[in-house]
Amino acid sequence: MLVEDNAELVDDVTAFFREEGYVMETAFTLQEAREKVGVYSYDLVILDLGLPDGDGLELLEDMQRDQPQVAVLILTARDALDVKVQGLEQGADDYITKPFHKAELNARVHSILRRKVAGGRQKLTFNEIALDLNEKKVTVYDQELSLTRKEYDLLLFLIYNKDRLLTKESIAEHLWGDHIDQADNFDFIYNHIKNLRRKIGQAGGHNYIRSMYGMGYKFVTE
Amino acid sequence: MKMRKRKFSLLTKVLFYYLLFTLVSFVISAIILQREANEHMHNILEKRFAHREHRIEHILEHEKNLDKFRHSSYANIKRVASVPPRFEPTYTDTVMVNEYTQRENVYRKKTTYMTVDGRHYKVVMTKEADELYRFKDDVYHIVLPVFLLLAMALLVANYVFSGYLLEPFRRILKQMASYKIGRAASLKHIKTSTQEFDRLKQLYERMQQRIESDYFQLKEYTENMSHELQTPLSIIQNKTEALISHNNLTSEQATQIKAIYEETQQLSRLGRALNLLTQIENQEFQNIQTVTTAPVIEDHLQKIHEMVEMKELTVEKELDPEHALTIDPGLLDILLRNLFKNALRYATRGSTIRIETGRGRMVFSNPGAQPNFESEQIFDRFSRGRGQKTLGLGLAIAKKICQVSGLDISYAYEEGRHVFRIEEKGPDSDL
Repeated sequence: MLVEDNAELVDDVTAFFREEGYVMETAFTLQEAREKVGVYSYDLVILDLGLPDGDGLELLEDMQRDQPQVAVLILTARDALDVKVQGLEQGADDYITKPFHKAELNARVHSILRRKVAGGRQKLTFNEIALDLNEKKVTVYDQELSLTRKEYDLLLFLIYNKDRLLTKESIAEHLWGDHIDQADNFDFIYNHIKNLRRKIGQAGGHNYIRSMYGMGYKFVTE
Repeated sequence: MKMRKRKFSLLTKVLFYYLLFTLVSFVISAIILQREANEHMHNILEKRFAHREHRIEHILEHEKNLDKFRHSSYANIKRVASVPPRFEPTYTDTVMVNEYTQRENVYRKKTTYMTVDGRHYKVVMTKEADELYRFKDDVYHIVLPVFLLLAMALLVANYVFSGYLLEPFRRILKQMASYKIGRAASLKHIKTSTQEFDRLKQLYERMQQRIESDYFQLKEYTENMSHELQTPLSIIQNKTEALISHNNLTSEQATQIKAIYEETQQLSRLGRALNLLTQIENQEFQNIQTVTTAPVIEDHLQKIHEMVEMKELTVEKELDPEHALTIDPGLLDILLRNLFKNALRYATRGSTIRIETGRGRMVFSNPGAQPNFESEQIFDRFSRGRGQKTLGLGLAIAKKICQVSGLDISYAYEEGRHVFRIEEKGPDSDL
């Protein structure tokens, strides 16, 4: 379920996740969210903190008491460290600050659900590529690739968001976090993409990674 | 060079002008008194001379013998042919020895002409005026000491009262000096019966309230702006990403969308940076602890090594494992990030970034072009290097962090390098 008061954003995110094959419910207010949480059972609640009728942290508190099994991802425009820390301390599984890349949100949702709901599904396979999410190892045609941590994260991010454009910005933010605004440009991402392509190619894998208009990359499945 | 004018306390000034005014009025009154005394003296003497003249006239009428007056101090009379035309009596004061007391006295001599029965006489009369002269001198003898006494008394009073009278004023000043925005303090506890100070108190309190309310409004505005901007920006960002995802874009369309996308990112960064500045200003980061800098710096270097490699930079570090700062770790993180960002951005390709810690300071330096502004301006908001597409807020944030964390940050351009020094502030360098 997505709890967010901006209709446009709700539409966007809902459409995105429905496309991904999730069942999405929405709530625009804290009150509505409370009612829905009380009636239905969700795997994950994406919770905006600044709601018109109250602070999302209140709902988080209630849910921690009544339904601690539900994963919570906090969505906030507040950049303050203490809000993040407070949310995580109160049992949220992760947070993401606005404005966010949907790809990033998607990757986080994937990883939370994998950890919390799928009981730790350990493997992710796509055609000849297989990722061991626990060991953080990648095999192509059962041949293990020696990837750096960044290359592994990049590949996982691409596969989580397959067939979507990942802008350089979103990739950079995913891999380097807050440090990314230290960069003049994101050309160094190209090096990682190049290495990743080369390593997959050497193991006989297909080149799935496409460059898109110089803006980013896409993991193309067809 | 402008000469600095010496400043005096209000009471001293008041005293000075008061004394000046008193002196002038004393002098004027002394002059008036002296004139009065002169006239009075003259009148008395004139009366006595008139009496004498009357008697002389009487004698001249009846006796016609001038021998009677010879060798007399009473009057000296001489027969003259005529009276000079339009003659006025003349007076001269002379010092002569008194016949009886043998003491020097002041005498007044009156010279006049008389006409009795058609005969003309020149009459010279002298009269002791000593007592009257003494009276005249007394005016000065009294006025001067009184003035000096008054001046002395005022000086003493100034010394004694300045402490007492100006005490509330001093306390108000102290309160004003210690005022920090966002921390209005009431002056209620400063009691004063002085009208002006009471007014000052009220005005200051009102001014303080106005500043506070303006400040909070502005702050709220900035907060709301940067906060409320984020949701629409999220939407724009997502929509542009969705647009780009279409495979059948012309390259021109792609370029335009890319531009929209990049500007959105820039806006969003701006909002976040401004928000961060406000938060730091509001002292929302209070998790203050002693943080050893070396591991934190190493961690940062680890995270930016791709960016360092991109510009073919080398990092030269000299980290003192003991060096520590008392700071919120979140703020230290942001501070380091901004300093590294700056160094990365402005370092010449292929050059060396140097980081040194130890002896209570942390120094970042990188080679680069001579800045085209004053070195202090580098910390101003929205000041940025030539042709750089940046927010220009990084160093403003760094400075703000240093301010709230009791650190001193300074910038200098030395031997072709941009050098930033961060030092712990001394305990007394607050003002």
